[in-house]
Amino acid sequence: MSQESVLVDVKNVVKTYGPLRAVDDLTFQIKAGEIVGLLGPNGAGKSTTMKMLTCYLEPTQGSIKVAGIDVNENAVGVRQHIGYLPEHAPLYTDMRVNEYLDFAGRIRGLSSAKRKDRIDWAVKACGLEAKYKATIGTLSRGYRQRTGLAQAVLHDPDLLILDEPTSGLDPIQLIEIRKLILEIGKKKTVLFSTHIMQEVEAVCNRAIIINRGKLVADGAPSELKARAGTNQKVLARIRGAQADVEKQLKNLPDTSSVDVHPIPNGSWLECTIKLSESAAVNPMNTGEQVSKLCKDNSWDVQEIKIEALTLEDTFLKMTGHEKLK
Amino acid sequence: MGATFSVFRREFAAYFNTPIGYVFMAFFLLVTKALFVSTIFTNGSADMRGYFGLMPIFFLFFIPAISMRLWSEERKLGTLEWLLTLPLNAWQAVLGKYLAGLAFIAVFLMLTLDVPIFMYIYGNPDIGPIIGGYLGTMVLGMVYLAIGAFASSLTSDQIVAFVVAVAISFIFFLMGYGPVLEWMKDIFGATITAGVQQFGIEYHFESVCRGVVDTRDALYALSMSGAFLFMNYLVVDHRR
Repeated sequence: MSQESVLVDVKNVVKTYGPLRAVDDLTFQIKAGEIVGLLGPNGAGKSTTMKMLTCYLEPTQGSIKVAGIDVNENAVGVRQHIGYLPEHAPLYTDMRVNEYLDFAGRIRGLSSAKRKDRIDWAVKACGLEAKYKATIGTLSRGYRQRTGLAQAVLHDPDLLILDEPTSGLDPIQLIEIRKLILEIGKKKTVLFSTHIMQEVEAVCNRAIIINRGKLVADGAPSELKARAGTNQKVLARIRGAQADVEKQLKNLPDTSSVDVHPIPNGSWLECTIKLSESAAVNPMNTGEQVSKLCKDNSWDVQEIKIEALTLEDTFLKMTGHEKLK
Repeated sequence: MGATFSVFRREFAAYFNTPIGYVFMAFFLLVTKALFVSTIFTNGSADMRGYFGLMPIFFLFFIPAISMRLWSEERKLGTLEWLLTLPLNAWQAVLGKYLAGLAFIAVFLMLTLDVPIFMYIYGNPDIGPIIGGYLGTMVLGMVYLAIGAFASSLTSDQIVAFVVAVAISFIFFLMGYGPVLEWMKDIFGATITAGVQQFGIEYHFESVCRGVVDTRDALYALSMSGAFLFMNYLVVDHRR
């Protein structure tokens, strides 16, 4: 990892509130251009970590450097490189969107002409054209998140830090915000926190999982899933002699357990094939083998389903275990 | 400082974004002028002593009313965290908001200028005491506002901020209030009372109104405001 491209450097950071260790010996780096998802259950220390990056809180121990600047030495300098959207997108509800963005632009030191350009760009990028003159207090949750996002990208920061940018949004708004993050992520470095695993899979090229203040895993979502090697399953609905089906399925390679039982009100058998725990196992192969078996034995097939491994399974597994490295 | 000015600008505009600013201002303008007008006709003399004499009491309530939203609102909305993660120092935010409050007070005072104009039309008042009175009122405002801003920084509840501001201001008001000082003299003696009086708002206000340019009064205004602004800064920055 070349030193120049390291944007965020967190080393052995601890944050304590009295006896509580909100963040416990956290170490990770973020390179320029990455879209990183900070995953963890509520209370894991995601927000605390982000607040330390934005110099809102001071680490109790350890060091944090953003763009090479130490947070303890030059907080203002660090913040110039960051665009931050706190949890729940807090905004001045008595201001209009354009007034608010103008204020944000001024504080960021943007000249009058530059401000106008950047605001126009941010409004377009975040889809706020319709609500440009609206009072923030009248906006829906989705538009408020977008306004908060617009403020965060306004000054073209190197690093975007978004704390649960999708919380409280409806499914349509969710998709839109995720699209936005992906779009912005094409050119900027983004760190956002969430406890929705699917989001990380959809948007990020890297996931950092923390639990109870400690780092649990750090890597690409696919890599983490492979490492976790959670039990994968192949499900099938077959019509055939129960004993025969069971015997043949059990003979398939890489299976750890097979369960076959008849579905009431019919002649179908519900088959659940659990694959053995190994990163090398590919459920697609097993699915193919089941399909072939059905053909060879002339069993009727209603459904063959491969239960894909989700990051959620990975996460649940990992937080029940020690650090996986 | 650019950031201080930006905060000032936003905060000053915010006073006029919602009815609160107008309502308080209109109410106090009305009440003070009405009371004043009722006294001059009974007194029969064209001077503003009566008007300015009301100020310490009126400002005791008016200033906390305009300062209560300065920080409480930020805490309530959650914007305080956002504000403090912008590239500015906490003191710039403290100063910006304070100056916005001062500007609002200045607007209020400008809207009272019809009173001396009225005096000049119907009488022949002395200009000295009038200038002294406005100066003293501004000093009053400075000190009360610093207290009010500090009180506001302690809580997300504007009502609590208001009450705390009034309480603290009231204590300093009493320290310079005649009858209270008399009572103190009986119990604590003249020296201690004189010492306490130096901290009293009323004492310095009267001194400025009399038109005597005294460095002690300037020192008082600056050190009182400075002390409370510093505490305001500590509370706000203590988030770290």
